[in-house]
Amino acid sequence: MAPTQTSESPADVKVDTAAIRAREQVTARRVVFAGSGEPLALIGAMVVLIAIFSILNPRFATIENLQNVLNQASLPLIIGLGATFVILIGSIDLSVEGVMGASGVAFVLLSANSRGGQDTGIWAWVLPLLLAAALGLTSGLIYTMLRVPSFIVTLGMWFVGFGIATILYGTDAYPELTDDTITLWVAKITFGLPNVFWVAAILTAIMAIVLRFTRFGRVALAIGNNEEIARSNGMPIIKNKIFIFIVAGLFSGLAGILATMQMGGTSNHIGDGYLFITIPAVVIGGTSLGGGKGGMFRTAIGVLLLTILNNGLVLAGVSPSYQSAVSGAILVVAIVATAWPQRGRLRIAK
Amino acid sequence: MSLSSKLTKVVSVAAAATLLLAGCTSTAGGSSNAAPLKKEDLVFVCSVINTTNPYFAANIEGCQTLGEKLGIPVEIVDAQGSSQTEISKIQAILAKGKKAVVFVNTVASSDAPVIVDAVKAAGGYVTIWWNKPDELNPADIGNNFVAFQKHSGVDSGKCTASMLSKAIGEEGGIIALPGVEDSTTSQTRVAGLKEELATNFPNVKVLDIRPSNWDPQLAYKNSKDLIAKYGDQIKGVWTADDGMQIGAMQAFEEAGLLDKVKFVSDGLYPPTVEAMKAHKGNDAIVGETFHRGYMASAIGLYTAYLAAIGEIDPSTLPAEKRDSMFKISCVTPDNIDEFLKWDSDVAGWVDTLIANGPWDTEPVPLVAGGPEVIKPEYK
Amino acid sequence: MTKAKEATTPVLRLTDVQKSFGPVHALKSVSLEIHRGEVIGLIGENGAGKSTLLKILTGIYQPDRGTIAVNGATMKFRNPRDSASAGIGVVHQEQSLFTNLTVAENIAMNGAASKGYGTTFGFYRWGKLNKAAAQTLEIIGSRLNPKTRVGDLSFVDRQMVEIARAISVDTSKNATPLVILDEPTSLLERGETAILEREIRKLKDFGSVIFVSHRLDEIIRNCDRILVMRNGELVADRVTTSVTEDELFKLMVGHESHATKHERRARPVNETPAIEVTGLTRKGKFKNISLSLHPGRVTAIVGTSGSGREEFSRALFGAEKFDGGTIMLNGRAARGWRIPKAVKRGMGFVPAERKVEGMVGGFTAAENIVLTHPGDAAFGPFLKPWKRNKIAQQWFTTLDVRPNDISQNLERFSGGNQQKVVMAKWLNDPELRVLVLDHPLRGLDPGAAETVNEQIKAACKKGTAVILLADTLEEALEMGDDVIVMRDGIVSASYDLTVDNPSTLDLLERMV
Repeated sequence: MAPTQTSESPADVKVDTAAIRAREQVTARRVVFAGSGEPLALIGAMVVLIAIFSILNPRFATIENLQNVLNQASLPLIIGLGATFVILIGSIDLSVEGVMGASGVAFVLLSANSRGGQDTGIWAWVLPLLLAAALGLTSGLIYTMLRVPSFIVTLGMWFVGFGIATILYGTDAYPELTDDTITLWVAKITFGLPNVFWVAAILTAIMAIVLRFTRFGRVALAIGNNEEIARSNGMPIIKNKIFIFIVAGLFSGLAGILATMQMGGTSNHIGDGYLFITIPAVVIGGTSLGGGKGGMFRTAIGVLLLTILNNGLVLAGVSPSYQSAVSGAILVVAIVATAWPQRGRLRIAK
Repeated sequence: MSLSSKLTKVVSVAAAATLLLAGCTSTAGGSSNAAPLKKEDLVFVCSVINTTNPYFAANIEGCQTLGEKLGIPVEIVDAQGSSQTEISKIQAILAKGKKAVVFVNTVASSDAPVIVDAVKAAGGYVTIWWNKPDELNPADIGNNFVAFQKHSGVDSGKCTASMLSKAIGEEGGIIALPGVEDSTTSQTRVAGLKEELATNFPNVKVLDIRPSNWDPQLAYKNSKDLIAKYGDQIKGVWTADDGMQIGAMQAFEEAGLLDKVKFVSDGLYPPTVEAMKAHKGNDAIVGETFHRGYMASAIGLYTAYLAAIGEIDPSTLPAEKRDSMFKISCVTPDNIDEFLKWDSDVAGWVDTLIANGPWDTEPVPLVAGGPEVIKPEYK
Repeated sequence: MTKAKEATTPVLRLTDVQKSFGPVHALKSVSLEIHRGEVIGLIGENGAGKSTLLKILTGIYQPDRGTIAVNGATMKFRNPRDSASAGIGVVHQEQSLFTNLTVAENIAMNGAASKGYGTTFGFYRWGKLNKAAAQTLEIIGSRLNPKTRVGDLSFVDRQMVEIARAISVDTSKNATPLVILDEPTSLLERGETAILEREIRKLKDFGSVIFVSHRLDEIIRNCDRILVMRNGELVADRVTTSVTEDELFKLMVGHESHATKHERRARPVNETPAIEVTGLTRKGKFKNISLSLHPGRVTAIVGTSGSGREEFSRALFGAEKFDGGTIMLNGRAARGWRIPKAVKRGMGFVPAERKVEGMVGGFTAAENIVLTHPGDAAFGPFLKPWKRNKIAQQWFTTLDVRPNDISQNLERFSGGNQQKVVMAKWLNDPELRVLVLDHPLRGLDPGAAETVNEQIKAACKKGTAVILLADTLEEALEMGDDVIVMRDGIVSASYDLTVDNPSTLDLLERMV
């Protein structure tokens, strides 16, 4: 039954495949180290910033200011976790601010507030989050079913969310939360860190586990790497994408609630400005807008880097008129320095 | 935020250019000596930046009350923060054919010329509040641009600066949180602050000025950073409006400093009233200014209305009645009730406005002519 | 062999399979049988119907007529998963791995689509996953670490992962997997190919293989039986021992090979070299390389990946920088060496990554041809379209580009025909002095390869000096006047073929 061996050219026998293989293993190992260079460089950049700012103003390196920085980084981080997931599949979620507005206003109106509303207890949390998830679900459905680019869908959903917030808000007076324990909870220090940062940190850990250890997370990475292959492998692409948009909506919604608690009340504009902190932070962290590459801890580093930069510039006494230019310039330098080892021409790896 | 506002600017400039062209061709037809309009043909147009801010909500209330009193229908324009929305909605109403008497709280200064030209081309009458370019003068445009009106920002800044300084014992450090950096309103209020401190309170020192874009959350963040930077050096906090004051107070409350620091601001918004009445933070809020959205809109609309029906001839009015500044009052925890009484009877106040005319109604009579100039040393 | 075939049910049997796309009969009527333990070679020119056949086998296309039977049972493949669960796995020409995931995950991907593989409540069990992957890799004799990210692997190792994935299709249902290797070697270096071929032979022990390749020598070396396709039909089914390369070429193309032997030109004395390189160095890539190239001669450079030959050839063209050494073109030193200068001084470069670097896919073929050297078509900064089309049409005729439509976007042509257009782009320079060819025959069928080689020879005749990074050592020895061997960034040997006569083995010894 065994067919006769076909003739082999002498070359095949003599080639020392083991030697070639050994060398390839070395290259492979070197590449593994190169891969961790980027986050390390970012952390390095952060350390340099911290050192410089500490010299410029000793108050920078105090416990109080550290708590302040972590407090400020928390909401962008929470939003960033959802945004990272969305960006990992090669899409983008621009609806953040609208979703925050909708959930924030809903939360304040369902809690005990200065407009005379009754405290609905757990529903004050559940309903706004459901609303946020529904907005995410709608984005996901339109994006996957009607194949509209996520950029367009979520831009629309931004305004839908904002519109809902405006309608809920109505024209009555600015609603304030009347329960001080709620409004002061966010920034309260527990075990040395602000509560809101604990929330963000725990969520970061959960999302990192989801990305690393669940099929949901891995399929998301696969989609971001090559959707075509993922499809021909029969992966549940549509389900996965829709779920990711729901998660992103939930995180924006949670951020909206926390921002409302922090402010002690809200207008429909509670989300303003968050999108343009979050997306750059995710990208600076090293999550590629093309999808497939990145992670939750990277986003955490990116958010911290941006927060430290802005906080440090205030403490260093940089004039507000120059602050955005200075922070922009420092960012460009940091990014170039980080990307330096990865430069090299665009080429398909061989 | 910055992206969308940039976009808005581009769009509105484009819209302005188009309209200016259109305006040029129709100037020949627009006469400044048009016959008075009949009351039945009129419609009130009331354009505000958004409908959720308490001040703008009050603008709408003023328009509606005046409309009811005079028996004229009122159309509300919600600009939703966008110059483009504002302009296109006003144009849509003008195109309906009724003669429009217009009050506009402009989104941006650059909107004013476009709106004025559109109203003039349609034969309506307009009063602009708060924002216009310096070079745009009602007298140059003609009777259709009846007046430009505002409250003095410098007076507001002086008033709050003085009350804050007195509250902290006339010495020590304060921080200032202005609005958007290139806003005239914010600039004039800051100039008033600086002038007052330089003239009367030399020992009160401004530690830091951090523009916070009228955004409570940015004010919160900046306050947190400044608390980290200056700690208990901060004796007082000056903010350019009450929205930012909410954010700043939250930051100081979280740091446990609320009852050691004093706050002043402009606007006397409902949450501020609540806080003052409740003596929040050991009477943390020590000073406010009083001016009201319903008063501004009613004065503006009524001025334009008088021109429309021929009661006044704008071309013969003195300069301060075409470019006007109305009184702004200082409010303390002690005298707050004197001012809040106006809010409980808006309709009654509008009656006195109709009786006394736009320039002589308490508590906001005409006090000076514009334009308001910022002295270079307080820029 | 024949006896074994009769005795068992074929692993795969196709009966009268047909497929048309509109008026085009891609497959006219194909019937074939594949048995357990067989390695079948499938060859044919581009457009012969090979890829249509493969797509039917993998469930991407459904046949218009005919039946597919696996182990005697008739099957319908509605999608790739049906085909996979019937035991058919594919190693694609363009690799279809997720570069950002680990080896183990990629191998499990067929499984990841099915329920419960390596996961509990949606959570990965990395230990189980890695163990399963290691077992599969063991079967094909690979010692890759299942935890490595695929993006960090060399190309040949990725090919191993592809094979491992292909054989992990669904061993529970089907004891004899059928692995389709779709041009697995077209992107590999010589040494890497040897590794792969060794692994292919192992596959025979537990399954069957369909091996698709354009390299006839490889097909003969590895296969038991060879199927030849032409114009949508199977035109020959030969036992390997009874055919020669020339015969296969004729069966495929329909005519004899008219490849002319390259006329070697002796190294001239006292002639200014077209390009002379002294001590060229780039840290970590290549070191102290000196050589001179004379008009009309082909210098073939061989070496494994990592030998530095690619970086060196790119540095010559100014596409990458170098740290030290000089380049002289026609006796003049090249300073501030960058691509625009190189092009101006008469150099051309056909890159290995054709689709990325060699062409503008969204432009028409005609536009691509006059991209760098518009020649007569130039009118100041403008182009005269009628002239451009005339020039393009001439090249299309000379190079036999198919389809003969210069106004189609280049991305819609097949690889071989794209390469012809890329060649034409440089050949359109009447003053072409140096042409650097980085794997010019990569992925080309023998017909197209022959045309490209003819053009290289023609360019030499006109006095162009050619640098050739060949796919195979045989190609280097056939086309070269000089052969330079590189290892670890230095020249380890150099042969003047007008004098020396090294064997492939000699070259290999210097390479590794």
